[in-house]
Amino acid sequence: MTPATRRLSSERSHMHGKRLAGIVLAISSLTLLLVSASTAATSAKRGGTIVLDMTTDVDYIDPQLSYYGETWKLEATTACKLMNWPDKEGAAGAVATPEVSQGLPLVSKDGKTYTFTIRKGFRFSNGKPVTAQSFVDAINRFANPKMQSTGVQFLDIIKGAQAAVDGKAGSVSGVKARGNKLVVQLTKASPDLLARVAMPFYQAIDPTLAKQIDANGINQYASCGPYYFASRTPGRSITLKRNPYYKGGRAANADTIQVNIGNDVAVEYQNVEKGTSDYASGGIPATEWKNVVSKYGLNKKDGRVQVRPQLDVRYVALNHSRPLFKDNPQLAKAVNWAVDRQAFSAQGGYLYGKRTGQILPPGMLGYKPQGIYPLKVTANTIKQARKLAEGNLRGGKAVLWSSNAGTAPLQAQLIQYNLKQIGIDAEIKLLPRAQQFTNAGNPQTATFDMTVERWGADYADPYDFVNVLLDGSQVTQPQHNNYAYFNVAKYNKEMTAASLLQGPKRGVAYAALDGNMMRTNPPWAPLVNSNDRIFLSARVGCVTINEISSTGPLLNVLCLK
Amino acid sequence: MSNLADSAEATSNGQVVSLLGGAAALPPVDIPLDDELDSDLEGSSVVARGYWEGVWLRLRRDRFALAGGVFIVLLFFVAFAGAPLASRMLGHGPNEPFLVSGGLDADQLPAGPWTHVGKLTEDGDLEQQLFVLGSDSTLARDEFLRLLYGAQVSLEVGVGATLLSLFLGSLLGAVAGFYRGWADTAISRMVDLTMAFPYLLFVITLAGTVGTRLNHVTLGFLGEGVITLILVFGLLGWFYSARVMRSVALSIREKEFVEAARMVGASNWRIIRSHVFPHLLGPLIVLATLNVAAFILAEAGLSFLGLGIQLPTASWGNLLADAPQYYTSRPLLMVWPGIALLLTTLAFNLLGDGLRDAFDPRGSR
Repeated sequence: MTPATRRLSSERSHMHGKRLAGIVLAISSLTLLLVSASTAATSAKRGGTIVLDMTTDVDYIDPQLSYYGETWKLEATTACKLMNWPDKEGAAGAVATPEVSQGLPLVSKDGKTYTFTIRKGFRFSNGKPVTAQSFVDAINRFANPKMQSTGVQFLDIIKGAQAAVDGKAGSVSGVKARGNKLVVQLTKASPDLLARVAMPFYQAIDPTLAKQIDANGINQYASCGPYYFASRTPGRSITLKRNPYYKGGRAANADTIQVNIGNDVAVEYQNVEKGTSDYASGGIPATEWKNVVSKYGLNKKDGRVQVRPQLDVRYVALNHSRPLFKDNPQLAKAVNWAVDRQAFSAQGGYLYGKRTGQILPPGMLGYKPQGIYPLKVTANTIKQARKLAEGNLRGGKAVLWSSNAGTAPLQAQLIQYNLKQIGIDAEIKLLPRAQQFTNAGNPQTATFDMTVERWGADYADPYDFVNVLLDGSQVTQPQHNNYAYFNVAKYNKEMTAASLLQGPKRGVAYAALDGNMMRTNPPWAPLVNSNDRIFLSARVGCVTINEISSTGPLLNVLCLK
Repeated sequence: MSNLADSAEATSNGQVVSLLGGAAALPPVDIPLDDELDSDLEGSSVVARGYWEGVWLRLRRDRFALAGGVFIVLLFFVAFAGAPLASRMLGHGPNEPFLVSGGLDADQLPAGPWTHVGKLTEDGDLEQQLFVLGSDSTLARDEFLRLLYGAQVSLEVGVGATLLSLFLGSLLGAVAGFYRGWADTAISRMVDLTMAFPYLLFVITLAGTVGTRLNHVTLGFLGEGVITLILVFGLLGWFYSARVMRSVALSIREKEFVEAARMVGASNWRIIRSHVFPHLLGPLIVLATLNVAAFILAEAGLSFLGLGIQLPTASWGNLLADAPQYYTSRPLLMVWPGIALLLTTLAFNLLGDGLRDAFDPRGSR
C-alpha cells in the first residue's frame, strides 16, 4: 500500500461521523467548481480553429524522424511522453515532470537502471491504450537503422542501442516492458536521461506505427497527446485535430490546429494582421518587428507581440571534412575574425538577438563569456582576419549553404562579402530549410564548405550543444548534427568525460571545452543567440510560452477569445 | 549541268541572275515586281524603293516603335557603359555593403534616396559616398548601381536566350517547312512534345538541378548564372519560333522564285540559305524583340524564386524578390526594378509591334 492510499483510507473513516457537514461541504465545493469552471470557460474558450502560417515545410512529422523546431512545435501538442515540460512559463516550465510516468522513476544505486511505472488512462487517438510497450516500440523504432533517424545520438547511453543502430541487433536490449513497468538500462549513469526522454523521439507510439519502418517518414499516425496529426499534404498543409481519447491533464483548447505552408513572411504578416491566420510561425518581415512592438506593445499578458530569449545559437558551421577547413585552424579563426556579427544581427531586425563568438548560449550551464572573437567589425579586425587567412586559403573557393527563406539570403550574402574580404570566393546555395540541414547532416550529400545553421536546445544542458553538435564519433552516421564534421580525438574524449560529470564540475568542464575549441580550432563561426519573436492575431488568447518545450506559443493552450 | 546549278543565284526580288556568265550560263531574266509596275504606271520620276528601305520608312512613321527602339539603345548604353562608369564615379561597387555608416537609417531600415553613406577605409576613416536611390536592403548596397548592373544581366539573358531560341527555332522550322516529308513530321512532333511540357515547372527544375553546375561558366564576360538561364530558356523556348518559321518556309517553298532557282539547278541548301532565310528575317526580328521581353520577364521570375542569377550579382528579378520585405517601410524598393522591367518589356514590345507592321506592307495598306 502506498502512502497515498493509506491517507485516503483514513479520510474515509472520518466521513461517517460528519456526514451532514460533508454533504454541505460537497455542495459548496461543487458550486465553487461550477463557478470557477464557467469563469475559466470565458477566459479559455474551447473550440474553433487556430491557424498557423509556416514559411517552409517541416522535415517530417514522423516522431522518430522529425528534428526541426517547427515540427516540434506541433509534436509538443501531439506527443505523450514519460516525462514532459509543463505547459507553464519560466522556471515552472523548465523542470521535466512525469507525464505518462506515474511519478519519478525508481533509479538503481549505480544509476544505470531506471524503472518507470506507466500511468493508466492515456490513449492514442485511435482508442488504443498507452502501455510500457508503446515506449519500447518507440525506442526500437528510433534505433532501427532503416529509419536513419538524425537523433540516434540521444540513444547512446541506453544499453544495446548502439548494436541496434549498427544493425547488429534487432532491438534495443536495454529497454524492456514488464507489465506496466518500463525498465531502461544504461551503459553509464546519465544525469540527463529524464530530459532526454522528454524529447519527441521518445514519445509513446501506437503498435501500428511501430511496424511502419520507413526512412521517408509516416504522414498520418495515431498519437497520445492532446492532438493528433489528422492529415498532411507535404509542402502545403498540416491539420491537427483534438485527440478524442485524451484524458491527460494538458489543455486542448482549439478543436483544430491548421498549418498553412509556403507563404512568404510578408504574406504571413498580412494574414496575422488581418486575422486570417493566428500565428506567423515563419516570422514576419524583419523590418516590421519595430512597428508591431510600437503598435501592440511588448510581452503584455495575452498580447500580440511576445519576445523571449532562447537557448539557441546561429552559426556558420565550417566543414572540417572538406579540403578548405580540414586541419586548417588558422582559416577557421580568420573566418571568426571576419564575420560581421553586428550586421548579421541587423538583418534580422528589431530584438533579433545578442551577438556571440562562442558555442554555449547565455543561460546554459557552463556558459562563461569567452571574449575570443570580436563582436563588431573594425578596420583592425579585418586586418587581423586577413593576416590569419594569408597562406591558408587553399584556392580560396567555397560553397556556402543557407536557407532560402526570410532574411537568410541576405545574411548569406553578408557572410559571402565578409569572406571575400579575406580572400574566400564563396558561392551561395540557397535551399529550403529542412532540406538544408537534412543534406548537411548526411555525409553523402554534405557538399558544402560552410553552412549557416541554427540550433535550439532540445533541453537545457550543454551536452545538447557540445556533444550533440561536435562529437566526432557521429560524423560517419547517415544522419547527424555535427554539421562542422568536427572530429578531433582529444575533444571527443573530453566531451564524453564532461557528459558524465554532474553539478558545477559539469559546467566547468563544458566551459573549458567551449573556450578551448573556439580558441585553438574553431568548428564554427558563432554569430547570434537569437530571441523567439512571436506575432499573434487579435483573436487569440491564452498565450503561454515555454521555450524549453518548444518555440512559439504552446499551441494546445492557445485559444480563441 | 552541275556547274550551272552551283553557279545560279536567284534573288528574292524575282530576278534570276547568272553569276558565272559565259556560254554555259542562262541569260538574265527580269521579272518586274508590283512596286516597279506601279512606278512605271505613275511615271519615271518615282524611284523604286528597296525592301529594307520600305521597312525603315514604314517603321519611321510609327513613333511608339521608334521611342521603344531609342529606349532600348539607351538601355544598352546605360547597362554596359553607364554602369561601370557610374560605379567609378560613385566610388563603390554594386555588391558592397555600407553597414558601418549611413546605409541603414536610425530604425535599421534601408536608407532612402540621395543619402550620403560612409565607407570604411583601410586606415579606419569614413569616406563619404552617395547612394542616389538609397540602399537596396538591410545589407545597405547601392540600389542605383544594382539597378544598372541588373540591366546588364537582364539584357544578357534576354538577348542570349533569344538568339539561341531563334537560331534553333528558325533552323528547325525552315528545314521542316522546306523539306516537308519525314523531316517535317519529326520536327513538328518534337515541337508538339516540347509545347506539351509544363514550361515553367521544367524551367524551374532545370535551373535548380543542371543549372547549378553551369553557374560558374561566364565565358569571361557574363554574370554567374547567365549561361544557365540562356541555355534553359533557349532550349525550351525555341518551339514557337520553329512553328512560325515552318509556316513561312512552307509558303516560300511554293513561290515562283524558288521554283526558278530549283529550275536552274540550285541545291536545296543554297535555296534555303539564299531565298528562304532572307524571307524569314522579318518575322525573326519581330519574334526576337518579343522574345527578349518575355525572357527578361522570365529571368525576373526565376530570380524571384531564387533560381536565377547567382547571389550577390544583381538582377531586376532578385531586386524585386528582396523588395517585398520592405514594402511598408520602403515601397520605392519595389518601384525601381518594377519600373525598369515595365519600361524595358514595353519598349521591346512596342518595337516588336512596329517592326511587324513595318515588315508587312499589306498590314499598312
